[in-house]
Amino acid sequence: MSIRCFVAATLLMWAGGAGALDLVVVVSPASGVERLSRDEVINLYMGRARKLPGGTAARPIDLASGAGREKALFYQRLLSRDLAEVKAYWARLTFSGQASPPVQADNPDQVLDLVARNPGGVGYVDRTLVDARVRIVYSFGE
Amino acid sequence: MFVRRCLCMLISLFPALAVLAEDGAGEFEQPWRLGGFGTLGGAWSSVDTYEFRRDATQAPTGVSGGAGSASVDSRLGLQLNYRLSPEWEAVAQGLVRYRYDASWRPELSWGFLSYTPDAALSLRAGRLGLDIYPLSDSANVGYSYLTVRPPPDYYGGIPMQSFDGADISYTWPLGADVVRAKAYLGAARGKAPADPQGGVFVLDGSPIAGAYLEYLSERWTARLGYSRIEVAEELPFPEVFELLRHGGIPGGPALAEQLAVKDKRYGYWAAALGYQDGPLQTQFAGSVFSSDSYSLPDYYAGFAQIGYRLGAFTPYGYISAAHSPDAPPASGLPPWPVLAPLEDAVARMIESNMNDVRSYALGVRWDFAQNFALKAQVERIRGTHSLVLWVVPPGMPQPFQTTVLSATVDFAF
Repeated sequence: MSIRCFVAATLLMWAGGAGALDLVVVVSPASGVERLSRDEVINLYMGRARKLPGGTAARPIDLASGAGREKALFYQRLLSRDLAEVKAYWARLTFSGQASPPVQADNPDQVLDLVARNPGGVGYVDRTLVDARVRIVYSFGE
Repeated sequence: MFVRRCLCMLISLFPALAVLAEDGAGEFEQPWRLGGFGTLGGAWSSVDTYEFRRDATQAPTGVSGGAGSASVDSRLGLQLNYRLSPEWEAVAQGLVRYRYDASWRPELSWGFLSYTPDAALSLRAGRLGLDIYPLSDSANVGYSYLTVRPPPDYYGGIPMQSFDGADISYTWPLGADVVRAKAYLGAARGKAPADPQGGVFVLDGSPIAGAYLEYLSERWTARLGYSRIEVAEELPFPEVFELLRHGGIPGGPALAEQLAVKDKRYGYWAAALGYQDGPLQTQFAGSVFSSDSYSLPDYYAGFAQIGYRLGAFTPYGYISAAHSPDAPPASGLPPWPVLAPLEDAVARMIESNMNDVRSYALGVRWDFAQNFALKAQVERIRGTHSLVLWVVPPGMPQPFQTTVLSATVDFAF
């Protein structure tokens, strides 16, 4: 096992048992979006894209750092970055007046609620929490 | 004065603009946002003949000959964002740091109104940070980068950090990646200490313009840009210019013209390439400074940096260098013994702004708590001339080597 694999595995274990969570990205059915690519999810969550593919203004929703293990796992799976790196990235954009980080929800239920009520809302939750109010547009898979 | 009045108006408008604020920003976005960042750090240097600085805008720091100081890296910033509507936002940022006049007087580092009519276009006007070099507009935000400070050989030579004016940026999607173009125009803001007697090189009001093209992908970032400034005020050495122009010295007026910086143009080319893949991050950057004045000699600068994250620890290293390609020009003055002090003053004007320096740094960043990072760095600097290091008076620049030890705690909230 290379150092890199070891570190990644350690981080995933630290994130709280990766196998227990199956993260998916969800939007409101009103957005008209059927699917997002991984690159589109990256661009939305890194502040590089501000519109959904259909043209609706995007409102990506993040989880607060203390809200659970989903957040660390999401950024690890999406970008192979830990939360300190994501915070550093947003500190640069925020304090050079370029962009503001995604809004932070207190818990996954709030993510679902905000996505359901906003046509531009984008969120990430565990697949088991998804209900008819939102549509899965990207899955990290196994 | 006009710009200052505009900025005061902009700031005083904040409460009034609040009345105009729409609720269109969405039910889950607060219109107000207060954020801050800061660094508490100490630096220590071994050499006697130079005082260590992180950039040319700092007064002598006292970091020399085995002495240390917190003045080099410590700073504190507070920022207020107010979103007026989905398209309009007002931002003000105050900064406290060790300045050109050896004070810590707070400054308005950013204060602007931005308009983002669609996802691609952004317009900003007011007081803005300068990003002549990649990331130089966030050089004060230590939490946002890996090293203790941006490599001084590369970043430290620019004697200004902001300008009053406007910028425009446009973003195109390129497949899964993004291309961004940015252009800006305005009047520079910057002051740099010029001699031990308290003379200050003033860049305020100097017309400045620039543009760059940037490519961003998941792993790669690349940027190429050019900026140009026309300096509006002369160097603070009126007695030298007076003597050369009106002292009846053969060749004096011609030398005064070559030494003058006012109304001359200076260019900065800057290129950078970054690669990040999981825990590995690398950065390469190069720049060329070109000048029409003897007093601010041309130079090249560059750095290469690598870091590798291991959990909460990220060890890193960089090498950086800056080099003025031309030897100091001959003054052309007659070799009269009586002119020796004048020759010395001219040589000091030129050589204190030359570069011939290399640095090697090793360090580690430890993200020990949420929103906090501790960094420790050791670097070895060698050379004959440095625009950033401060020559301890009354000496002339001379060959040196020094070890600099630094430690900082950075935070952002």
